[in-house]
Amino acid sequence: MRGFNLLIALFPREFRAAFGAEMRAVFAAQLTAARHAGGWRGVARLWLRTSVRMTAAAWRERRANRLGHGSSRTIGLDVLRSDLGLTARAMIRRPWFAASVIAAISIGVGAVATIFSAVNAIVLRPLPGVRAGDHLVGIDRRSPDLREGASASFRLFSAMRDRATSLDGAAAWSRVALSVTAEGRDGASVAGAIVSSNYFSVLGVQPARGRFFLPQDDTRPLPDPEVVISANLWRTQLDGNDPAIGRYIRVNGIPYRVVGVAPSGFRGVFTPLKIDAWVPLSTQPHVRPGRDLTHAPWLWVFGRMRAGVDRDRARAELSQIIASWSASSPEPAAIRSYNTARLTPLTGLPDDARTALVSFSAVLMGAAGLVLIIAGANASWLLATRAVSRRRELSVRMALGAGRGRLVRQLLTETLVLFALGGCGGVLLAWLGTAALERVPLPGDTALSLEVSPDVRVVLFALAVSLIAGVIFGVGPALRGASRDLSVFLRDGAAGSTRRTWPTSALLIGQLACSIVLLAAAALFVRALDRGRSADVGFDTAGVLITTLNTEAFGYDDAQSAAFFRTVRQRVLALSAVEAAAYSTVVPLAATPANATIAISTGADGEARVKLPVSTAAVGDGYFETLQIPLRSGRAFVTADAHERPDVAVISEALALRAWPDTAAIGRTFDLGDRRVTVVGVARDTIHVSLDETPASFVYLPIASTRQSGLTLLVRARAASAPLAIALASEVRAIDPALPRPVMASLADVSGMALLPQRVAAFVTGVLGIGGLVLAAIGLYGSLAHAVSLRTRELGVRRALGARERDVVALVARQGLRVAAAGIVIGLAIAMLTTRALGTYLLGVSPLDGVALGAASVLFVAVALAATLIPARRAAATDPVVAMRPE
Amino acid sequence: MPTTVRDHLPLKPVDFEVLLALSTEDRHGYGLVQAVATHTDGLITLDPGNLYRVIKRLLADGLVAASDHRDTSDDAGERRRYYRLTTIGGRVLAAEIERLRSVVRDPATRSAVRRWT
Repeated sequence: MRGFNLLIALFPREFRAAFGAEMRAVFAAQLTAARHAGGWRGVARLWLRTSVRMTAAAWRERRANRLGHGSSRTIGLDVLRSDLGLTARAMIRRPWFAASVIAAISIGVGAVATIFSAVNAIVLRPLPGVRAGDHLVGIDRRSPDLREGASASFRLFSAMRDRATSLDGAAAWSRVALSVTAEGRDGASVAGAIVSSNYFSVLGVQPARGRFFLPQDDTRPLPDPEVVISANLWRTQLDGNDPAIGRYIRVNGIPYRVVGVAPSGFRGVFTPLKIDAWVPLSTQPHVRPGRDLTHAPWLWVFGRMRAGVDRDRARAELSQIIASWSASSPEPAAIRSYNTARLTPLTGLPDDARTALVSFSAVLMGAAGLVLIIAGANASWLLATRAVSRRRELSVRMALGAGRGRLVRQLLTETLVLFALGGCGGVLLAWLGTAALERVPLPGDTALSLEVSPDVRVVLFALAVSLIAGVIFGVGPALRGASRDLSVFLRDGAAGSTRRTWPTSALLIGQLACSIVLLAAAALFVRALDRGRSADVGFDTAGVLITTLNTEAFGYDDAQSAAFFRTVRQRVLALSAVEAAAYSTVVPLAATPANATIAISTGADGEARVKLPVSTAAVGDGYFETLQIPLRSGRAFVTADAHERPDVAVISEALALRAWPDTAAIGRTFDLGDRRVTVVGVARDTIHVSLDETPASFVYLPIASTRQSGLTLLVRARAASAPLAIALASEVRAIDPALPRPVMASLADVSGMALLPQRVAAFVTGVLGIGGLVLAAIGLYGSLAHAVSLRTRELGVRRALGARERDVVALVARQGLRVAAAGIVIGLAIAMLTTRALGTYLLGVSPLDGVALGAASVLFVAVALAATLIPARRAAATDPVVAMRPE
Repeated sequence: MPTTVRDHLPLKPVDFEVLLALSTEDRHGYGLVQAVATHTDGLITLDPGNLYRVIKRLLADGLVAASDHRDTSDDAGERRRYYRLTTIGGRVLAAEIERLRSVVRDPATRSAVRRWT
């Protein structure tokens, strides 16, 4: 019966009052009859029929009522049209007023929409360039608690692809480094993907030219390997020629036939990674010789949900497939325990990166929201002032018979039109803002780029935000503008009250407080950035160049790789500008080292064993010298270690203290996996992952004791490094001219990536903070100037009665500074409560950092003083005679 | 406000059926729904909303009125309002039936019926 009450609620009030109870009685009787006659089906039919007809009846009844009262639907439209006309006229009459409101709202909405645009592109938007992207899911193999996971092996992927009935298809892929050489051109290093043959069809991508891979047995190598290239590579390497289809290009040293070109909007599955070439899984022995097409876990899997299947069912089915497959697989037990499927929407980022980005974006969104509040309050004040100065016009219209509702409606229309225009301005600003964000250069990996421009979703979001802001900030002024005592103004023609009412003061104080919070956040991020820059990372990045050499991508086998690495280092060391050079598997502060556990025998009998988590990296001869990491004791690696004594290690001071707190570590041993390793040296602690970490337990191993195909060459230069980069590149190419030109980067730039969140946050909150401060200052200035203009005569009287200029300045300034003081107190209080949320991004700077809060306050006070003193001085400078002259 | 019987003609089919149902006895809302459904062989089944829109209109036109009738055998009788045909309502109903009868008697109507059945 509750549902039926809803239907009754659709009718006009009088109708409900007259017949509501009777309608309920009739329906109750009908329900009983329907239940007797047709069971629950009869009841359902009755409900369906009744709700449709009742809705129509209610609509007709309401329309009849309106017609009965003589104001028809068309009259309503006429009113709207006349409101819009009045709005347009009002805007043309006061262009500066309209422009100020629109500008303020544009800034506020623009800030929010820019951040939303980035969130939208990274998190919400389905993959660009694919068909029905919201049906695509990434499929991860995780432990039952979803904490840990592993990539899929080819066999597991095949099982999911063949058995899952809840999917329309599952595809697998992995990233590969490729070097691509078109005939008669220099080779290029590109990010590539090795994909199952159904990769494109599961994504629903159509080739721009040629075709994609044919359905084939992924494990059987083609006699004639095929490659699909991106539209970008097609343009830059093959001149965008149609005959490119069917031509051969060298991929990692072997000719591949170009069979198709991907459409230009398509960026692969992880959108920040610009994939330029796709090769089928069957090329694995060539492009990823370290993997296999049996049990090695190295593939990412995604699938397309069958229409009408919900995600829980698909997850249950895939979990069951993974579990039954794991039970019989020959994998290590640790991996076999990963028997649960996790499904995530495929929106262009791995799930963990997405989570991190979302929480970071929330911080930025908070800052943008503050700007929107400031802008809205600003606009609200402008509207209120305008409404007061229009009271005479409104009272005339009221006297001529316009109802109060009609006036409110017109004022609301005006407000919402202004806010909607502001929303459009905001979209424009967001478009410019995201274009600026996309151009922020990302050092290091050149394959990374972002595509965050606004789409329809952002436009709708911006308009919705601006209209909501319009309702929140515009309704108050509209209601007050059309308040009942309007006739008073018509009668005595007063200019209006000179006292600010409390909503006006609250708006001002709110604006100022929000701008203080923003400034404090910006100052904290600048402090964090500063701390990050000057942080002691334990090594010296200045003057170090790095390049990553992936011999797998060159098509080299192990022996060729070893020879290549040896020759490159010899030739580089022979350059006069080079002080030191070494290989490493990690780049400090740019690439995460591997994690492992070591076991240490303690006690005299070596029985008691302690397990310690450590980070490991394989480094070559000269590593500590190149990065200038001092050795506390023992020795560094020498070339002979790689071949004759592979089971030696250099450990970090922190580990030495943790493992052997009482004795020297040199000569001690520990177990790593199934190897017993002897400590030969202790190096100073360094920071590897993030700037706020505590020095990790670190184990350096000699490089050749593990098989390596991709190594980073670090080179310390004696002098300026720019010419050296070119010399280094040509040394590499002199060894094998077919190799792509290596990309050299400075370690300082690359390790600066670790500060990227702080840099972006400092930049964004800085821009927003300045914008917010300017808006708030304009608000303060405007309200004082307005108050002064209303009090001109009073101030003139005071001057005539002997008040000095200084007294008048003080009188006006006191008014402004009182508001500013309230703003700063409330703002600082809010800042102290909220900056805690920034904790993880502040690199150890206290959220209550005195320097940051102090700097924000000083800037704020300076601006507030300026915004106060200018109108105060102008008030004092007014000639009392002019001021007192009657209007 | 129509004042003569003629001003009410022709009646809408639903109005006609409701008046017809009230011509035999006073009825409450659900009684009307049942009577109309029976009489039209299920062609017209009224939902509460449209039923009371019709009743509201007929009340306003003075064709029906609330009745004093209370059916004491019915538990819910106290809460149910009954409606009765007013004098003018009865005249309008009779006039409408007469109008329909003359339509049926018309030779043109008869030939049309012969042709199409």
